[in-house]
Amino acid sequence: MNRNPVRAATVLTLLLTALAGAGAPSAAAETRGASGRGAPAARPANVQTARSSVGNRNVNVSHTTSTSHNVNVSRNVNVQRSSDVHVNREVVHGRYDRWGHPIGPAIGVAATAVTLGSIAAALPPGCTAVTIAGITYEQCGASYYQPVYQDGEVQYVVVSPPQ
Amino acid sequence: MWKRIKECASILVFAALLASPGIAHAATRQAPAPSAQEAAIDPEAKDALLRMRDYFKSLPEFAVREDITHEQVIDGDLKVQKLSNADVIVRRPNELQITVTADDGSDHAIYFDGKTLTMYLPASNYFAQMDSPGTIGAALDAADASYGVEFPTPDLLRMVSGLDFANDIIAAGDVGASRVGDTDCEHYAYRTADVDVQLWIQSGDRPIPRRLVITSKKLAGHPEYAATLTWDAAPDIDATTFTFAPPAGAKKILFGAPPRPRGTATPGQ
Repeated sequence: MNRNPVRAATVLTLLLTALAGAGAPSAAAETRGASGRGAPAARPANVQTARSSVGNRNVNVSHTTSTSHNVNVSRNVNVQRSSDVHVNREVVHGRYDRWGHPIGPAIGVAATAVTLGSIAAALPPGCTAVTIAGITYEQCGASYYQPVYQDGEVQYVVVSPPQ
Repeated sequence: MWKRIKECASILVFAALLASPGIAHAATRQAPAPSAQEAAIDPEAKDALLRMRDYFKSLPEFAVREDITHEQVIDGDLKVQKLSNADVIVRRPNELQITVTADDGSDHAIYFDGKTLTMYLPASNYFAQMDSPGTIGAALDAADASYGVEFPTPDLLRMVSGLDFANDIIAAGDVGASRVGDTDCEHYAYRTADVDVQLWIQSGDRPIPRRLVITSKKLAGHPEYAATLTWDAAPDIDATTFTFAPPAGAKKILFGAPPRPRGTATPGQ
């Protein structure tokens, strides 16, 4: 699927930059907060999903970073799993590791604010929903995330405190 | 006829063998000429597809329960299936309601009333809405192209708007008589450039699809999307069926990326 190649490239750049800044993935890096996370979705790079439609304009057109959308996002939000960061397997391989994919950088538990505009696949624990002008924001410690539905799933974008 | 398709396949294999290195003489036999390929479309199989499409056009409303398996290929060649169920209700010309439950927790519901498309996620109690005036097919395409919204059996839904894959077929045949559940069907196979499609079409005067399989033959492992379909031609529809009423505590979110933050100030890290 080549839906948003530019955006995907931008996100990938964000992720690579963030990872470069945070150093090699490690238990310590995971607890430094969510700053290492730039990719919108924690997906393994080697998942290909069967097409669900004959036509060109359909979901799940083959591309190597695809997985079924919405996978596990809601699980992340609602399950208090702060201890997961410290579990060896999940820290090294990310969340839902082998064959329970998606795989990706684990959720940071620190409440420190993260980079504006960065995108998370799931919220850190302990967020409160806030409604402003009819739109929902999630306040997580010092950070505000705006959930949006994009690329077939809910993504959480770090935003300035909404007025 | 299917036999002819098998003959074409044999010819292709033979031609490939002739063309491979190590064979002394140059291959003079080529891939089947276009006329042979046209003959690879069994007219009865194509006609069955068109009859099914026309039957759809005659239904003012219907509901279908879909039991879906959707394959993914991970680790290069490991196929896993994701299971889901979808309840679809359609009322012509442009009302649609879908409820999906899935084994990965991605349950969601979609409402479309010809003007607004709503996506509701019960696990997070989020809902998002987009303006989409027009047909069901147009709403599908807009939601998919813009925001990656997934729909179950998109081909079926597009058929409601008169769109189908008949013109993409490069081969078609009748696999034979079959049964889905208790129902006699005819089992057809269709080939397009990127995917192969199988349809089990109910025999008799209601040519509805009872099972659909789409094989992604361009992907390693040829993963499949398969749906068994159970129909109700007289569904329960009332004034609220296609209207989304936010449940208590439902939180509205936006489709698409939020506006870029102004300035470059970073609150700290």
